Amino acid sequence: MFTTQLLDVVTTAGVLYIVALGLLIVYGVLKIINLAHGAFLAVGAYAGVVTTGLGWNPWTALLVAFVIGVAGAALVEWRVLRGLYARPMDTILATWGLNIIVVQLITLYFGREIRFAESAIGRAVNIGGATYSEYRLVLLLLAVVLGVGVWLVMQRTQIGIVARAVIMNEELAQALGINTRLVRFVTFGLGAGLAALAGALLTPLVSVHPNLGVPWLINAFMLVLVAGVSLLNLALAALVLGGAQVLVSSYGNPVLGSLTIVILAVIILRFRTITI
Amino acid sequence: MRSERPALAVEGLEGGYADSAVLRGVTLEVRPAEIFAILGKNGMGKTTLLKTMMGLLAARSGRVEVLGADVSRWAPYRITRLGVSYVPQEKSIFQDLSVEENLRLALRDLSEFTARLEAVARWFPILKSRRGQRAGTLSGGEQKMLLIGRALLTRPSLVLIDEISEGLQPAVITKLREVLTEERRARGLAIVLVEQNVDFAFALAQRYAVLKVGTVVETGRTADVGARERIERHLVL
Amino acid sequence: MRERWTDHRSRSLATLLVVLSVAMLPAGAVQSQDKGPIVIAVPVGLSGVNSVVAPAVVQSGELAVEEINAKGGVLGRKLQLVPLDDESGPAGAVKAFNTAIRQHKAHTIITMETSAARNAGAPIAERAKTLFIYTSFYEGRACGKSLFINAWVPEQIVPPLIKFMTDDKKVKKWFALGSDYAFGRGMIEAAKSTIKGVGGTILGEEYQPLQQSDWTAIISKIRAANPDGIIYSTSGGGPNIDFMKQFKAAGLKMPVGSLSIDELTAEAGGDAAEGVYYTGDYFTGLDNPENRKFLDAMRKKFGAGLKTPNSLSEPEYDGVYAYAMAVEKAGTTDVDKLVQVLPTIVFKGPRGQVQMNKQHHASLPVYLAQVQANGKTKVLKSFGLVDPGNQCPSLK
Repeated sequence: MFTTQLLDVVTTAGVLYIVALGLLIVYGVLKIINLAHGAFLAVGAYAGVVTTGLGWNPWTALLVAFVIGVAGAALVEWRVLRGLYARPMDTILATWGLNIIVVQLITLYFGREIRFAESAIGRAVNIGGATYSEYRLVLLLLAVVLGVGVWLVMQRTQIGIVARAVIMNEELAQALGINTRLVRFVTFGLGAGLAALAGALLTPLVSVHPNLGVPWLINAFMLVLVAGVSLLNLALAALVLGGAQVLVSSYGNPVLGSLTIVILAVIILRFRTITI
Repeated sequence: MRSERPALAVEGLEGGYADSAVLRGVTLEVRPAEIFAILGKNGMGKTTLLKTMMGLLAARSGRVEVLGADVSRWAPYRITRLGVSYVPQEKSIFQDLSVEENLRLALRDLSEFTARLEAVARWFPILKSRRGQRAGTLSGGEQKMLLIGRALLTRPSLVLIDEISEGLQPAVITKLREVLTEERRARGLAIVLVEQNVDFAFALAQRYAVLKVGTVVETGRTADVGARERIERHLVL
Repeated sequence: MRERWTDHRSRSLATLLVVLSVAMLPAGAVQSQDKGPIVIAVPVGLSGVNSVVAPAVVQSGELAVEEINAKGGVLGRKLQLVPLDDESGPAGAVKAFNTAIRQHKAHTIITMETSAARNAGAPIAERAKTLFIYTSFYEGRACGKSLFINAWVPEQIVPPLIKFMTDDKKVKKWFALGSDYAFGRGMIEAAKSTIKGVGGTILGEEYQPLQQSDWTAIISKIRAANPDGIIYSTSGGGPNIDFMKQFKAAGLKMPVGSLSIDELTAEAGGDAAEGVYYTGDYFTGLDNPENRKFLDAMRKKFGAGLKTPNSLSEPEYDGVYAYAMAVEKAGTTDVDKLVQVLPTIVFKGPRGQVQMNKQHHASLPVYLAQVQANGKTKVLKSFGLVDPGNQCPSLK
C-alpha cells in the first residue's frame, strides 16, 4: 500500500508537471496565462486519435501533436495575439476566445462523442512488490526528462539565456537588441506545442473528447500561479499539490481531494504575498 | 563623407506615456565622434527622450535619425543593430544572470564573444575574472563597469548613457571618464550622456543641451564662456 | 409601488396576448381540428451535454412517423414531428415546451431529455393538457397525470446485473464507485441495497467529482481492498473509458459491472472496456425480427448520416408508435381519453414488448451484455420482462 501510494504521488506530480510546463513557459515570457492551453491539450489528444486511426505507431502521435500545436499557435500568435500585447487583459481574453474556437472546430469535425486513441503501453508492471501501471511510470520518466531538458536549455544555451532575460526584464532585453517579438512568437508556439504533446501523452489515461482540456487547464493554472516562473518551483508545486491531492483522496475522499489543489494554491498564494 | 551625416538627429520629437505627454517637440543633433550631454533636473523628460529615441516608447510625432537612417517607429532591436548601445539608468542589469550571461545578451554573433570580452576586459578586468559571478552581487561601481562594458562589447558607433555617474565613488567616475574619452578618440564613438552631474558631463562633452519640461531650452558648446553659469541657473530653477 | 408596477406590466402583457391570439385565431382554427397533421414535439438536447445522442433520438422519431404516415397516418391524419432544442437543461426546456405548445400547437411531446429538463418541462405540458411521453431512462419516481415513461428506472437494471455477478461470477465482496452526482449516487444506492439483499458485502464506496478524470486514488483503494468485483456508475460517456483505461493499466483484473456505460461509449473506447458487464433494455445486437427490421429501415432512411441507435434513442420510436396506437384506439387526441387508453396499448418493438401500465411506467425486457475486445457489445442473455416496481403509487 505504501509503495503504491508513493508511486501515486510521484506519477501524479509527473503528469501535472507535463501538463503545466507549456503554460508556465508562456506565462514566464509573455506574462499572460494562455487560456487556450486546454484546447491545445485537446488538439494533441486528437492528434493521437488521428495517427493511431491511420494505423501509425502510438508514439508518432507525440511528434505529430507537437508539430500541429506549434504550427497552430504560431499562426494565432502571428495573426491575432501580436497586435494585442500592449493590452494584457485583452490578450488573455483572446486566448480564451481561441480556446472556444479550437474546441468548436474539434467538435465540428470529430463530434462531441468520445474518440478512441490507441495506447502505446497498457500493461502493469511489478515494482517494489506492487503492481503498477507501466504507462504512469513512463510518464514520470518523461516528466523528468522534459524537466531536465527544458532546464538545461534555459541554463546552458543562448536561447535559454535570452528567454530568461525576457522573463526577468523584457524592456532591458529589448534595449540590448533582443528581438522580443520573435521570442514571444517562438515561446507561444513552444508552449502550445508542449501542451499538445501533453495532450497526446494523456490519451492512454483518459477518454478523448473536445473538452478534455478544461479540468487540466484549471489544475495547471493553479500550479503556475503557485510556481511563478520557476521550473524548479513548478516541480515542487506539482509534487506538493499533486501529492496532497492523492493523499487526501486516499485517506479522505476524492471529492475533497480534487479541491485540494485549488485550496492549497490559495493558501500558498496568501502566504507568499506576506513573505515576498 | 561618412563624417558628414550626424550620429543622431532628433526633430520635433513628441511622446510620453499613455496619459501624459512628456516630450514637447525635442530637436537636437549629435555629430559623429562627439560627446553630447543632455542636462536637466529630474522629471524634465531626459529618460523619456532616450527611451523614445530607442523605440522603447512610441513617439507621437517627430523624427529620429540614427547614423543616417530614419528609425522613427522602428523596433528597438533593429535600432541596436545599426550600431547603437543603450545604457539605462534603472534595472539596467539582469541581477540573477551571471556577468558573462549579461554580456552575452548584448551580442548577436557569439563566435566573437571571447575576442570582444578580451577587448573590454582591458578596461575592466573584473568582467573577465568574475565572469561567473551573479551580476546582482557586484558592488554599485562594478555594476556600472558591467553596464559600460556591455555597451562597448558590440563596438557601437553611438552609445546612449542614462545618468551613469549617479552615486558613484570619484575613483570609478574617473575610470569611466577615461574609458569613454579613449573609446571616442580611438574609434570615433559618439556618446550621448544624460546627466545631472554637470562636472562629469563637462569633463567629457563637447556640446550640451538643456532639457526643461520636455523641450530643449538651450544648446551650446561646453567650452563657451558662461555656459556653466547658465546651466546652473537652469538646474536650480 | 413595485406591486402596482408589476400589476400594470402584467395587465399590458395580458392585453398583448389577447390581441395576438385573436390575430392568430383564423390560422389556428383551420389547422387545429380534424384535418391538419397531429403534431409531435421533440424537445431534445440538440446543443449541450445531450447533443451526442439527440440526433439519434430525432432519427428514431422520424422513422416511426414516416412508417405510420406511409400506412395512412392516424385517424386519417398525418403525423408531423417537430424537433426543438432544449439545450440539455431546464431553461432551454421551458422555452422549447412553450414553443411546442403555443407556436406549434403540439398534440403531444415525446422525447428524451435530462432529468432537470424534464422536471422543468413536465409542469408546462401538464398545464397545457398535453400528453408527455418521456423516453429516457432515469432515476425514477417522476409522476404526473399526463406524464408517461417508457424507459428503464434503476429497479429494472441494477438487480439483474448484481444477481448475475453474484451467481455467475461469484462476486461476494464488492467495491462500489461512481461520479459524484445525483444519478450516479442513486444507481450505486440501488446497487448497494441489492447487494445487501443477496448477502454480499461492500468493501468500499467512493465518488469522484464529475470533472476529475484521474482515478488514481480510487484505483489504489480498490487494490488495497482487493474485492471480488466492481460495480460502478460514472456520468455518461468519457468517464467510463477514463476509469476503465486506468483500471486496466493498473493491472486489476476482477470482474466489472457498469451502470453507466453504453454501446457507443464502449465502442469508442476500443479495448478499454473489454469484459465489462452491463444490463439494458436495448442493444443494436438484439436478435429479434422487430429490431432487425428497425435497423434495416434506419440504415435505408438515413444511409451514411445514420446515428447509431441506442438505448436512449430507440424508445422514441416505441413512444411514437404507442401514442399513434392510443390515438387510433381512443379516436381522439384528447388528453383525458388518452391517459385512460395509453396503459392498455401493447407495442412489440425492437426492445420487445413495451406496455406503460405500471403507474405510467413500463415493464421492460432487460438483457445482459458484455463489451468485447473490439469494443462491440455482445448480448449474453435475456432476463425477460422486469417490473419497474412502485414508481407512482398515487397513479393507477
